[in-house]
Amino acid sequence: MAKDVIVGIGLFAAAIGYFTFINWWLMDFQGLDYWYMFRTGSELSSGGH
Amino acid sequence: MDLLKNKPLLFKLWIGLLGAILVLLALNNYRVNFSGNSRLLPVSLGLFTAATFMLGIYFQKVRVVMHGAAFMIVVAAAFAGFANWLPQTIGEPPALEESVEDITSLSPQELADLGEKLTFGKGKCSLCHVFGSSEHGERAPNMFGLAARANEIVQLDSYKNRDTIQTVAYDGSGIAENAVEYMAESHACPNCYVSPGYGKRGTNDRESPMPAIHKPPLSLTIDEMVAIDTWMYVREGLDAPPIDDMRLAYEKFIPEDERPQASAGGEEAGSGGENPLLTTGNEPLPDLFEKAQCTICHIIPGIPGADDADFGPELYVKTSAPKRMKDKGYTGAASSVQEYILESIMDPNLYVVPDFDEDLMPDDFGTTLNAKTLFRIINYISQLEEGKTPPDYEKM
Amino acid sequence: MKRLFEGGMRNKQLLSWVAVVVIVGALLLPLVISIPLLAQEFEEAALEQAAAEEIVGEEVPVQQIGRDVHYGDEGIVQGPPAPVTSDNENDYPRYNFESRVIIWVATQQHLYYGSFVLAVPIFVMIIEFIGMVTKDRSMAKKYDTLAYDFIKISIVAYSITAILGGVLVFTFMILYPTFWTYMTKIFHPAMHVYVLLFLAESGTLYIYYYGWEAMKEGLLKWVHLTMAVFLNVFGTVLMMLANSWATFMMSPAGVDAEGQYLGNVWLAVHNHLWNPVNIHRLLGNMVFGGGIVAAYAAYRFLSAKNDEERAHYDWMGYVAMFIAVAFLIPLPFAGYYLMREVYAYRQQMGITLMGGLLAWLFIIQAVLIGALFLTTNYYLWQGMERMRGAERYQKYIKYMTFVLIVCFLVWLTPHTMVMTPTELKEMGGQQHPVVGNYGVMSAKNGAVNIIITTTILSFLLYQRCNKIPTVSWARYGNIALWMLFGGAFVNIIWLAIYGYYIPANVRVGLSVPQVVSTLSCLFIGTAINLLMMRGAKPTGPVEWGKISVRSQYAIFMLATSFTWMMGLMGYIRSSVRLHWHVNEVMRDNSPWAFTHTIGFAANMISFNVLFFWVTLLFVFWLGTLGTKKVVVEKVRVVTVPAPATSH
Repeated sequence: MAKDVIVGIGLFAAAIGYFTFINWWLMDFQGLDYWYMFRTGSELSSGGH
Repeated sequence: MDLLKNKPLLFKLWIGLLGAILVLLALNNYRVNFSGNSRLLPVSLGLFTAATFMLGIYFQKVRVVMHGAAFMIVVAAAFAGFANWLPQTIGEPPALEESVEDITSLSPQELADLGEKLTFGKGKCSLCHVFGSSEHGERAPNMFGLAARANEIVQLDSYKNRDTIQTVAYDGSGIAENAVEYMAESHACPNCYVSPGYGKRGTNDRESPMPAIHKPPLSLTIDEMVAIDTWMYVREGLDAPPIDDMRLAYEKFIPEDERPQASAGGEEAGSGGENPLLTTGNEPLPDLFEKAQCTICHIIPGIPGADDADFGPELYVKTSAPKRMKDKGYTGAASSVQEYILESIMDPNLYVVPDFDEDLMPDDFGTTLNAKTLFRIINYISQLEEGKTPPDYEKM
Repeated sequence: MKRLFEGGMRNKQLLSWVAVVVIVGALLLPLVISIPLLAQEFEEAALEQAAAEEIVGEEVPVQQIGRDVHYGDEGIVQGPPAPVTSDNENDYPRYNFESRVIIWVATQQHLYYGSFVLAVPIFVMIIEFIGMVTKDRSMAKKYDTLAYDFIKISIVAYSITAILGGVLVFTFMILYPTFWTYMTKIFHPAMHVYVLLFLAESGTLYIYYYGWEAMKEGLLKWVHLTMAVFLNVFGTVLMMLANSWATFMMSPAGVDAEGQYLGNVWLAVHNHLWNPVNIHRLLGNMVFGGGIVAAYAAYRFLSAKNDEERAHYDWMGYVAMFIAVAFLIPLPFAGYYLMREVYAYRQQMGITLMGGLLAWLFIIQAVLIGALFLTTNYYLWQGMERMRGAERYQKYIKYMTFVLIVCFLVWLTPHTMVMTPTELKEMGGQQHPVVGNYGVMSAKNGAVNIIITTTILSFLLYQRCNKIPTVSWARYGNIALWMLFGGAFVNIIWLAIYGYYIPANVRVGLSVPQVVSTLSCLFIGTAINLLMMRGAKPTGPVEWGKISVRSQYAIFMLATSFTWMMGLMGYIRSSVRLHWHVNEVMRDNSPWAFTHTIGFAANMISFNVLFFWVTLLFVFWLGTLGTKKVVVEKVRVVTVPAPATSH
């Protein structure tokens, strides 16, 4: 059971890592900065139209 | 005879008939509501559903087809119903630019089309008047049924014994005898008779808020007003009176020297511009404000003749602009009073002052006023402060 | 395809794939070569003619040079300018009814039937091929029968399509003569090709259908399949030609600014929006065709007399549904491509679509998409009833329903609402202070991606519900799947929230990683699932036919929604021209140049959808009637020839 939890956490971390990577990579690919908020600070926007 | 004894068959016959009636009802509802702006068309789909479903219950052989069809109708009706619930707009094609030299060459329908265009365009009638059968005119009477109503109005005692600030269009013009003349008189001399309840605020219906439309700033020609009157008839399915009668009626109420000509005035016909300039920019300020059409709606403190309109806010802009720019509903980008005025002239709906109507102010002043006019308007208005004496316009 | 339906394939595998490549190659080759060649020929012919005229004529005719309105090339003017119509009886004859509405109905009906008969041969070809390479004889027979069943349905529809095509041409000539004459002057070479191809397709189709029995063995079967390939080549080129006329009206090319034809029909055919529309329509047709066949199967299921029939039609419905949904997934990407090209062609056109007059229609589309996904999930859950062992997953359904409904509501929240001025004042603006926050793109993108991801999850559960994995790593495989989907949900929601904290130009980019998160679940999830199910212990066969009646109504719902959506998107595509017959070249001066309200449009779409389905259900019904009669007549040994069940 404990092993399951550890594997679970590990795989979840891997999933998050993977998704974070594609987030960054695909934004970079479009010439955009994925880390915008962390670099420039947040500005609460309307969320689009 | 056998038919009457065969009860199941008889029953099915009844059900079949009922189904057929439902279908016919549905078809009729579809036909009636097809072209109108009524949103009841999906009701037909509901009736179809009921009919098919009912038939499906009693006619076993076609049960699956009927139930399948009924279900599909429900789905389609749901989508159509949702779409009918959303806001409805018709996208009109832009008007063809055309100049009419001689209105007698036009058919009544073409003349009416021209009139309709003028009503919503150059005449700016739709700023105040409404035209639909069920609409209520807030600022000015509804024009629906005018052609018929006008004949009754000219018979009224209150019409014949008028008590307004100006009882005749000009000395010796007399008053209207029939509907055609009534319309002409109303256009040429709005003060001559004021529809009950539509007078200028506080004048007890003795004075009309409407400008004489053959005079600046609107300056409609007699033929243009004839076109508008024609539309009043044609749009209600009535035969319009002869053009000559209508021209004579206008000539009765407009003296010769006041009649605007198609090619006269500031309009440079032939240059092809859709938006002729309203001003040259060199007029004295009161004339400038009038020609630029500001005075139709706004009170402009300190300007003679601009003290009694109430469709737009009073222009103490130096006081009000800073407050409005900070308002939550303000969507523009101005940072000074002058910028605010310029922005409000060019794009009036960026901020609409509470209690006034959106989309009322035309948004084409950016193309009908030249730079000098704008500069002088802004220069004057930006100095108007509540509770202070307005600057001397003669020096500006 | 086949892998997803049953076990793996072994023999003839290499040969089969070679065959597939050849088939695909044959499909694409004529498209690549034929049209430019034809165009060249016509161009040469035109030049020769011009040269001949030059020699014969006493005076050398002054050749007018025009500049292509889209490609910018110069060419010799070879046609009259686009006619300037006016609102009169000659240009727009009156028949006491809005001519445009008549055209609308005629076009839409032709298009519905046409799409159907174009799509069905494509998956008949695929299914026949799968049947040919399946080793299991009974299964192979089953696929072959299924393919035959499909083509049987489409053969009646083919005749109707042809009749409707004739009706459409006739309607154009009667109601819009001036416009029709102008179009034929430009496209007559393409129209000749069209007629020839149509004849070729008809011939191939009839030989293909009637030769099914005679050509069922050995090499002849491969010849038969090759015929299916040609059938689809003809069909696809036909569709592309017809598309070119529609897209020419949206984004004209091959003519100059006055609409004068410049002699190269290929340029007129290959206008800016032609290929985006081709791709979008091809995919859309597949979805639509799958939907109709599924509805046919559902209909036969519901009217089935015994379990055997029920089992067959349940299976047929499932396969058709699978095809429809499989093509539905790439459809939005094709739509995105089309929209991008619309913006590239004329930004104003894009704005009219997405932010202007037609924007509300996309709200309706959103509702349809939401309904489609909800129904797909419902069908999959109902389908679990066919399998023993599905009880294990039933408990997740309620959570998935909850998630789907919440996301559906967010997806539906309008950005701005319709209000009276007083309501507006009370709310303090067009957007509601709380609800308004969900009506924006950031939240909606998140919602729709979660809907799709949940659908993928439903599908994975469906795939495994009659199997118990036996692989040693099954436990960790399950954990991995949980974590993959969990991670994807977290990521999608995070990106949706993050969108509120960054400026618009950065935010728009977030939709790409969101979509890729969803697709990751689809590909990685399916891969893990398939690996886990290798050698899995079955808890029992799929008991085809043991499915609720409600599930079949879900199929009806999907089929109707596809049809409705097709009507809606077609209307959007067509009405974006606004008051132009041919965008910016030939103005529509008829009394019907305005754009109808969306309510009116929706009523028309519903009418078209129902008209189509009522006629089609009638065709289905005729089909069952015929079979019954044949049976009866066989029993009674009547010598009078029975009425044909179909052509």
